[in-house]
Formats: sequence, structure tokens, C-alpha cells
Amino acid sequence: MNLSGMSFILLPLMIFIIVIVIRDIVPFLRTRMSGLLTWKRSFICAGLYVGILVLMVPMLYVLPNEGFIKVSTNSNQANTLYQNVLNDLFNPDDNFPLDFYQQEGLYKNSSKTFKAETNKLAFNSDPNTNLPRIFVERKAVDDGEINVSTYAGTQSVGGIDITKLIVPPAMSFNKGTLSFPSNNQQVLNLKKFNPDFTVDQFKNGISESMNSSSWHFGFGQVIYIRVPKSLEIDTGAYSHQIQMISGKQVSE
Amino acid sequence: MSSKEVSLLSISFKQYYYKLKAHTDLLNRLLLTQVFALIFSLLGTGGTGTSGQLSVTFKTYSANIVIVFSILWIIIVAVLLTTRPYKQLETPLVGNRLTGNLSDFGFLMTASVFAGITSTFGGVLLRNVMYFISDRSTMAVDGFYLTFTDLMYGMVVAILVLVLVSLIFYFLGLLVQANKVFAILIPVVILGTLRVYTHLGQSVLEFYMVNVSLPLFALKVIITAMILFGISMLVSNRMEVNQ
Repeated sequence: MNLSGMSFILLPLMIFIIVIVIRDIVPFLRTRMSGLLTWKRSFICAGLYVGILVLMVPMLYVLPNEGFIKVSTNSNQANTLYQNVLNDLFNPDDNFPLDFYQQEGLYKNSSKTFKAETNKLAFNSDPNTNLPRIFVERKAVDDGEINVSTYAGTQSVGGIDITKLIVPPAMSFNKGTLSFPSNNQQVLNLKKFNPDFTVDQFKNGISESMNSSSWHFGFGQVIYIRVPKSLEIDTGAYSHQIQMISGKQVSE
Repeated sequence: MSSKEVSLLSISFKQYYYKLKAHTDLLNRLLLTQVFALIFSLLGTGGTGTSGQLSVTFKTYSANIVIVFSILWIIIVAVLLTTRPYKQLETPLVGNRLTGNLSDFGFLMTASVFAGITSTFGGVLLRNVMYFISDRSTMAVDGFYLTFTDLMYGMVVAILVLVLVSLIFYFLGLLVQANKVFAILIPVVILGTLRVYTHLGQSVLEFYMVNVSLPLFALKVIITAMILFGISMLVSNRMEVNQ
């Protein structure tokens, strides 16, 4: 996503305003306030301004760093992990069975266990909901439990790794059907201070500076379901979204 | 007739001190400019992205706008110093072209240092204000606490950039004062050159700022400043007395 869109409009507007301020408004105010703004008073004003700004420096360092989002800002690592896990997930012939517990780039954000009430597992999702990719693995035993784990793939926004902020997809299990409701929209508001361009270009270079504003949503989330050995899987209309962990597409 | 000898530097310094007092309104303009820029900076820049069930609104904050506005301010100051009303301020004082240019040079250096310091510290003020007015639970801690080295680094680079820009525009202003044709010629040449050699502007920027260390950048700026000041002196000496 291009972040410069807003600044593309705002910057010329700001430049225009500031030129008007410097060229017209300030001289106008000066003529009105010429009696008040002597050179001594102007120097005092400037001194006060610098004084306030200098005082802000120690103040910044004593501000407690509580309440902030403390997440990794290593977007490069996040992107590498995303590429790796994407490769492993979507090239199943070579990589399955995938070890979800060890797979780097996947962050487990929820885990639920449901009682298998019937001998069949069906899926239901709102048509407007993008159902995450679902991987199903059969257990070696018939223990009557369906274990559902959700994993968020590595995602970063503006250099911030937001993977651990992603909430798992809402789901419910009733009468052998695993349902995903539509009202599960997550809204994240993020703010970040960037170094000024005077520092950034020397420290990180232009390409790195541009990269730090990039967005990588990756593939979103995946759902990993472990089912009893003999449980029948009914994929219904979601066969393209559901995949057996052995690498074979599940058939009805 | 006075038998007292006066040195070039002492006259230049007197003129510089006189100009510092006379042009305090320019300082007021900077303060106002930076306050406006800080208010704009509080808005931040960013965008919104959506992926499946996830919607992210991301805003970044920096003092870039304050620095850019300070650069605009120094451009206006540099050009104003070459104009007739501002040059006429020197009339009551004993001096010549050289002392006048030296005092202008001193004034521009002072203005650059002041603007460089205040614009960089503007970023600190912005962080302090955002700490209290914004919801910290949506703010990343990384980048919030500026390191002291970064602060100093940014200040030096901002000052050097302002010095360079001020001398470029002081030189261009003198050219225009020497011959009004340059008022048309300079934009035409610059725009024409950039149109023909599309990467020229980027190349110039890269020469100064990309893959260079701070000492090398400082050296490049100082050498360019000396060259520009030298040429400005030559242009100035060729001007009519009343210009």
C-alpha cells in the first residue's frame, strides 16, 4: 500500500499555506504589532522557544514507557518468515506433513477442543467471510475430541510485526458443524514515530527508509484441526479451502 | 579624517550584529512557521489497509514537516537578504560589498543553526505532546524514544542542509539582483535541465546524501558553501553601487 498518497496532497497544501504565512500574514501582523515586537522582545521570545524545546529533551527521557505497543519492528525477519511459511504451506507435496508446532513464521493465537457429537464434521461460513485456509489431520486414535488451533502468519505494517496482535477467527461448534460468523472484523490502529529524514537517510539509506513503510499482510491466518481417526469430513462448498495434512485434497 | 584603523572582520561583525537586531522579524516568522508545522505534524501521515477480517489504520509521525518548513523559511530569508530594501539597511554603516556579504553570510549561518536546532527539537516536542494527547496503547514504543546520538546527528545534518540551501538561494538571489533577466532565466534553466536530464535532481541528492558518512557530507557541504560564497562575492562585486 502506498503511504505517500495522503502526504502527496497534504504537502503541497502545507507548502502553499506556509509560503502565504511567511510572505503575507507575518508582515501584516508585524505592522499591527510593530510597537510590541521590538528586537529585544523578539530575542526573548526566541530564547524562550529554544528553552522550552531544550527542556523537552530530558522530559522525553523520563517519560515512562508504559502502555505502548511493544512488538518487534524487525519487518525484514517477518517478511522472510512469511515467504518461508508460504512456501511450506502452499507447496504441500514437498513439505507435508507440516510441523505446526515448530514452523517458524506461524504464531499460535488460539486453541480450542470440542467434543465430537456426531461421526461427521461439517463446516459453515458466512458468504461474506473469507474463510482461512483449513488443514485437517487425523489422529491415530478415536478419542472423540476435535482439537482446533488457529495460527496467524507473519504480518507487518510499516515495519511493525503485528502478528501477535491478530485476534483468532471467531468460531463455534454445534451438532457436528464448525461455524465461522461474519462479525469478526478486527480493527487495528497503529501509530509509529519515524526518524527524521535527516537521520534516516544516513543511518538506513533511502531503500531501507522506503521499505520501513511497506505493508505485508501475508496470507492471514490458518486453522489446524486434529480430528478423531474415524470422523467423516464434509467439506461442502469449502473443498478448495480445506486440505488434509497428508497433502491430499479432502473429498466429500 | 580618522587615524584609527578598522579591520574587515570588525566592520563585518558590526554589520552582522546590526542585521541580527534589524531582522528579528525573520526569527518571528520562523517561530510561527514551526508552530504551524508542528500542528500539521500532529496529524501524521498514513493510510488504511484491509486484509480479510483485519483492517489496519497506520499513521507515522516525524518532524520532517518542521524541517521542510524551516528549509522553506531559510530560502525566503536568503532571497530577502539580497533584495534592495534589505541591502539598504547597510547604508548607514561603514562598509563595502565584502563586509556586506560577510555579514549576510554570518546572519545566514546563525539563522541556519537556530532553525536546525529548533526544527530537530521540534521532533522531541512532538513526541512529548503525542505522549499526553494520544492513546499510547496504539503507539509503537520503537522510534518513540530518540537516542541522544540520533538527536545530535539529526541536528548537525539539519544545520548543514539549511546552510547549503541558504547559500544556494543567496547566490541565486544575488544573480537576480545583478540582472533581472535571471529571474526568468534561472527557473527556465532549472526546469529545462530537469526535464531533459530527468535523473539530475536525484543524482545531485545522491551525491550529497546517499551512501556517505556524516563527515563526508559535512565536507561536501562546506566545500560547496565556500564555492557558492566565492561566486556570490564575484557576482556582488560586479553589481552597480545602488543595486
